[in-house]
Amino acid sequence: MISPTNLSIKTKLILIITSVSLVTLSLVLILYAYGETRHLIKSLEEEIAHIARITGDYATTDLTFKDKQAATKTLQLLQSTPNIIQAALYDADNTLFASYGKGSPYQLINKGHQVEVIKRTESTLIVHKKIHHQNEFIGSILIEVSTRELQGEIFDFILLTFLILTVMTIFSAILAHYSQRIISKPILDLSEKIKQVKESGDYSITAKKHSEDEIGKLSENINLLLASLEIRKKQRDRAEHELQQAKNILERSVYERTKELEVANSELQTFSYTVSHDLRAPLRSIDGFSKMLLDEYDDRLDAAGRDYLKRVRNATVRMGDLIDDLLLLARISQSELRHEDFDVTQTCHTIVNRLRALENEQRNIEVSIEDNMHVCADKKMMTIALENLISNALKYTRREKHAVITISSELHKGARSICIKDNGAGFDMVSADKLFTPLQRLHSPSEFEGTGIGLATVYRIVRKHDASIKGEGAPNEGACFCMTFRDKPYDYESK
Amino acid sequence: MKHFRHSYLTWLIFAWVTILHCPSSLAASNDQEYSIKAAFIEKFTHFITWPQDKHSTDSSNTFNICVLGNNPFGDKLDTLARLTKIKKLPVKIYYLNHDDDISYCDIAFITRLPANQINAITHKARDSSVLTIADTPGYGEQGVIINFYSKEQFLGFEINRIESDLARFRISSRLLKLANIIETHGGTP
Repeated sequence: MISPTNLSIKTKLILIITSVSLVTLSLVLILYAYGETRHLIKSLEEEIAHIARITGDYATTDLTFKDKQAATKTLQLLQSTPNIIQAALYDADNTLFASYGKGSPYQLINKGHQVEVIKRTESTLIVHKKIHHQNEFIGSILIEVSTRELQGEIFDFILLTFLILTVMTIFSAILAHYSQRIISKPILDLSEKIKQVKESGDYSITAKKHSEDEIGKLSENINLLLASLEIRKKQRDRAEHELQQAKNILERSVYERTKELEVANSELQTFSYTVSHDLRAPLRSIDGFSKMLLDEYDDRLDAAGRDYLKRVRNATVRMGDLIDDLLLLARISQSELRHEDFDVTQTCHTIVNRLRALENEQRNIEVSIEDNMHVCADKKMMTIALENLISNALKYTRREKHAVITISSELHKGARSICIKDNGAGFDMVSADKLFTPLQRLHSPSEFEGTGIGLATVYRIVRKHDASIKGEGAPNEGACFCMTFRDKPYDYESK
Repeated sequence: MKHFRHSYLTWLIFAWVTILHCPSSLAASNDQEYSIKAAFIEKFTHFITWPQDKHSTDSSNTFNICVLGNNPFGDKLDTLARLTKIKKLPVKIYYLNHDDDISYCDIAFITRLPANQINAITHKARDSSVLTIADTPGYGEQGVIINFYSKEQFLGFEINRIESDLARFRISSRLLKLANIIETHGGTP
């Protein structure tokens, strides 16, 4: 279906102009035709009324002197007037006095007090007029006239009006067809240009300005818009080009860095291997030969010599531990994580039992472990971390007569924290930032033995799990270490 | 009230006329015939204009109808005079002899008279602008202005245009078209 909104601007303009002129012309012509018709009818009425008056006047004596012959003659004078169907004279008693024409005897239409009555039927006009002579009612005259001729005239007039209307409408349509171009051409041009721009993406195309009116201004503004779009496009292209170059540089540098890292990693592995094997070999020699000296040359050594040798051996053990720890730290950095459901409670019990068994002195240690603690983590790594933290707790409570170690968990804002708390030596919060730095120690080896690598290892493990660790404490008031994991239940499906 | 009386009279006269105008009624009664003639006389005055000086010189302020000779109207004219006005004036009826002065008459109805007397009367009437009416055949040619005649049961009248002009009457064409026009001189006495 054709909707008026779907029509082209050209058709719309033609339709609007034509219909406006059609409506205006129709109104004017209808009014004119109406007025003209009214005028024609009125004229006829007046003419017939006038004839009735003259004839009535002329028939005054006929009625006065009751001369029917004369009255008939008087009425016959009407034959000079065309279209009169019939005429009749009535006396003062409304009795037919004389008649003319061959129409059917007409009913009196003026029985009231009116001097003149005009009646219109479909095809006739009847005038009935009373005749007075010297203020005395002496009779009346009725004239019936055919209006067919008038109707013919009116019909011709309407036909002519319609013809004029048709001609004028066609004329205005033709005129509209040519004159609408003034408005539609610039718009269509503009539309075509914009279509070209849309299809080609070329913003350098400009629209022609036809006039200084609103459409001209529109063309001007669209040209400005296109120009600014062209500038923007150039800027964008340049930026894209620069971005591409930067990306290429970045990719190359990433590639280079990756290569370098790979080289560094392999070097580190080589280094680790060297450390673990090549450093251990001389240590073993030092330890072995120190032991042989103590065993085979015991009698030739004094107490001081034996003490020095024991110290040498202790030092080699510490050196071995240090190498182990450093190797572990290096391994942790390189190893891949394997997330799974990790039973913290169970692992803690195992670790505590094993460490208790290694305790030399018998002391009162109270360890409380919360039941049913689970996190999603790498089992092997978490075991190393927990072992480090629990062994630290046991180590730093060594001087306490009654050691209390609490392992608990808490859920806060969707994050699960595992906290290991002790009532041991504690530390000063001032140096808390050094806690997780490798080889940094807050206590001297004479107080508490250690390599200064344990907490750094824990820190590395926790960070690898995208978790966090925080240590709180005060000198001689114990310490508390909390590892906070995002509460992510173990996803069995994806593994 | 006046108008009512006037209309009443007209109605009455017309009633008579209508009744009497039936065919055969005319000959039936002399009485009825003169009723019609009396009514016609009154009607004539509607269509005839008297000269300006006729009523200004006449100080009587009445409309005088004179009957010369034997009165054939009975009391019809008296009744007319009692009930109506002519030219807005009261009507007065005079019954005169043929040789009486008629200069004050507005209308003179002349009955059958010897021929020489007619000429004398029409002559006098012409000078004084008296409207002469008669109902004797041949009187029109002899100078009477309006002369009734009967033809086929119909009351007609003839008008002598020459005489009416000489007496300076202005007669409506509408009245003239009903009349037989005579154009002869009434002669001199």
